[in-house]
Amino acid sequence: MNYPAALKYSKNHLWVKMEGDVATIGITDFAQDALGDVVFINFPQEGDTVIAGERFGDVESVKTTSDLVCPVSGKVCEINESLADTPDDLNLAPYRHWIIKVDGITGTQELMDSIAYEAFCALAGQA
Amino acid sequence: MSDYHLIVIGAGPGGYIAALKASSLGLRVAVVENREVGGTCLNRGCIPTKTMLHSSRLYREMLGCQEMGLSAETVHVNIGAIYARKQDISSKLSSGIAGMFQNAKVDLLCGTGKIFAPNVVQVMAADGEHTYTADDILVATGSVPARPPIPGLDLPGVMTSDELLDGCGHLYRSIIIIGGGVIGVEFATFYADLGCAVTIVEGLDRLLPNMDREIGQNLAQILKKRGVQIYTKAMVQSVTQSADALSVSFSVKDTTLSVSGEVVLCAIGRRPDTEGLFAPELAPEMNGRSLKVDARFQTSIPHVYAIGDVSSKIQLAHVASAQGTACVELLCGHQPSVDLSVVPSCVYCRPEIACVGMTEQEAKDAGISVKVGKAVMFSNARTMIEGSDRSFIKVVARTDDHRIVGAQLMCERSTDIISQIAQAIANQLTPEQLLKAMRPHPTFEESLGECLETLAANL
Repeated sequence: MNYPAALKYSKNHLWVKMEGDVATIGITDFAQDALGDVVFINFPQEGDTVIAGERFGDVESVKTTSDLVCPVSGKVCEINESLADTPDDLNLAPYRHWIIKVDGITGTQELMDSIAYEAFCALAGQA
Repeated sequence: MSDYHLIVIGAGPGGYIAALKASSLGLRVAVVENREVGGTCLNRGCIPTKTMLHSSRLYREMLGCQEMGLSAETVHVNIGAIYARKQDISSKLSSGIAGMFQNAKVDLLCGTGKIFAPNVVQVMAADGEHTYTADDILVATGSVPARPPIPGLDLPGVMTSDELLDGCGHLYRSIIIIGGGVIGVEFATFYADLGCAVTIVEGLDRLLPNMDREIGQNLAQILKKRGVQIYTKAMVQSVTQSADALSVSFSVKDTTLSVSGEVVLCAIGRRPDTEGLFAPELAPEMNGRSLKVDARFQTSIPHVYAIGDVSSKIQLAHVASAQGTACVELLCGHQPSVDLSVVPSCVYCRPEIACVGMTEQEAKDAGISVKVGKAVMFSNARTMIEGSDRSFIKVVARTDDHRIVGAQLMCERSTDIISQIAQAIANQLTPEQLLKAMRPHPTFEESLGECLETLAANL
């Protein structure tokens, strides 16, 4: 399992990369592994307001559908449209294929660094 | 006394249903038609396209039949035979309607109808002009494919659905479809099934932009897997002819792109057909290009009514039929028997798409508090057995009184399943009520039960 040190992580298994006022958001390696083959992503629309801790879309695998819970509050400024055609890219490279970018950040969930998230996943894996 | 109580102009699904209804309610009725009985639906729309899609689906399934334990090594497309079959089915259905007219003693007046006065219709027939009087006149002239003023759209090889359905005797190698609406995606499905290179160029941000967003996204993903190229937010600028192909140029964001194909289908919509319908001194009020009507379907001219594509915001055969029935019922002093506000709409791609009522977003935009139940059908046995692409069912209900307000389906048989949701909306039923009856197993429709259970639990 991969936990890049440059990223922050939410307890809902999303990663966040903060660059200035823009947060790039995707699902973690742990999340894609738990989901299995991803077949569909329900995206928000550009311009939608997202709120930290609330659902902004979902990721569907052949096993289950999992809500995407936003780690930050702000406005969706970009959607990774290429994932709509090849959602299984999330399985192949979850940290390269982001899902949305959010700007105008007004707040965040409590986020973990890679070490804390790895420990969190270890606990989740045992549960 | 007038020649007829009612003259209907146009024998499409609006006109012929209205005429038969009027006759059953005791009126003396005539229908004026200048082409084949059955209108666009039967001759240049719903029926021919579904006939062709049935053939293309079988072809595609035969090519993939090894998965089902079969082999078919010499499967060929005979495009001429596909067109002949569609013609045969249209003709049979059309003559069936002519037979119903005879049985119901509805006079079929062959020719082009023109309204000369509120109670006078002139029919230009093969044997000359005839004039008839009627107490009331019902306009049901339908619509024709629209061609926007884009340079090059008049080139040979640029067709609307009308010309495409006439056929040309060979299977096109490639086709560019301008417009990713219902007509565009159904033709894309047909040609992609038959192995033709298909490109769709759509101006808005997704296919089927009037429907739930997940439908357009799911369909794009499925069509792309079948090799269809899709451009969205793409504004067509021109069509040009090169040596052996047509090129469509369009802008996407700040760049201009161009795709080439043997033929181009312009499928950007249909416009009401009112050409030559009224004598110059009769100028009915219009709503854009549509005839303006009131709640009783009366135009601004007394005793002249209009139904279907020529006056309706929603251009669907069953809407025209329902309006025709309602208009005649009102004329005869009855209340309309059909709730005209509940309109199912279907797309015969694969899996089929069927929607009725509001999406979650539309309900929220209207300030209605709703919950959604959704079932994705990977584990539905029939879906698995038939090897269908990703399918789902969504149902939307009000949180206050649990009434169902809408549903969006993309699954096999959804065009049949949708009617029970339409019934539920028209009769103000709840998910709990729809769950009262057990559902047969194994069916596609079992997933609707699963969806309703999720919804009932969420409410």
